[in-house]
Amino acid sequence: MQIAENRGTRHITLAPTGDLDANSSMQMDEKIQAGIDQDIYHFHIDCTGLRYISSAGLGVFISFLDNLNAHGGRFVFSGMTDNVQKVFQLLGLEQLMTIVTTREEADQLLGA
Amino acid sequence: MKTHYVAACSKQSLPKIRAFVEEELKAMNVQDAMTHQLVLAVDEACANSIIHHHECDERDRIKLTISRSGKELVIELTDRGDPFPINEYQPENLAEIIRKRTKGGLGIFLINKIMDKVEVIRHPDHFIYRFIKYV
Repeated sequence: MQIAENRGTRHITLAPTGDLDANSSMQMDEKIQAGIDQDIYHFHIDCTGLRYISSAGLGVFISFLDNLNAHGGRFVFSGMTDNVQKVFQLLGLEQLMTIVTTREEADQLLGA
Repeated sequence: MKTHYVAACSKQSLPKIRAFVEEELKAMNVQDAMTHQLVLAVDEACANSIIHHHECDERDRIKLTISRSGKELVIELTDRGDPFPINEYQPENLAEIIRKRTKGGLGIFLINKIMDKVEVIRHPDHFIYRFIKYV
C-alpha cells in the first residue's frame, strides 16, 4: 500500500492506494500520528484508490477517533467503493464518521 | 468442488490468502459483494491466527480449505495448538473500544457478523475453525 499526503490549510489529506490490512495499517497509523504531532486534528481520507480494508485498517481510525473528537477534529472519508463502505456499515462506523462521495465535498467540510 | 491453500504464518501471506479465496469463490460462482465479505472474514481469521497464535513465525503454517455443496459454502482454517473460542467471543461494544483508543477487537466480531455459522472443532493434534455461509 502507498499513501499520498497533501497538506491543506488546516487539515491533511491522506490517499491510500491498495489494501489497508494487518500488514499495512501501521503506515496509516504513523501518518495520522505525525499529523497529530503537528497539532493537526482534521483528516481527509481519500479512499478513491483504496481497494480493501480489514478491521486492522479500521482499527487505526477508531483508535484516533476519541483524540480527534477531544480536539474538535474529525475524519472525513471520500470516494469509498461499495465494498469498503460495506465494511464501515458492518461495524456501524458510518454513524460515527463522516463519509461523503467526492473529494470536493470533503474539502468543503474541512474548510479547505 | 474442494480446494485448499497452505500459508506461512507471516503478515505478508495475507494478500495471497485473500487472492486465493477471491479466486476460488469466483470459480464457485459466488456473487462479487458476497465474495468481498467472505474474503474479509477469512482474512480476519487468518490474521488472528498468524499474529496472535503464531506471533508471525514464518516457519509455521495454516491451511485453508474451501468447498461448496449447493447453497452451503464451507471454509475451514486448520491450525495447531489451542484454538481461541471465536464462536463464543463477545466483543466490547464500539463505544468502549473508541473510549479505550484500542486498535483491535473487531475482527472476530466481523467474522461472526458475516458468517451464518462458526464452529471450532478440536482434534488431538490440530483444530479447525469451520465457517459456513449459505450463498
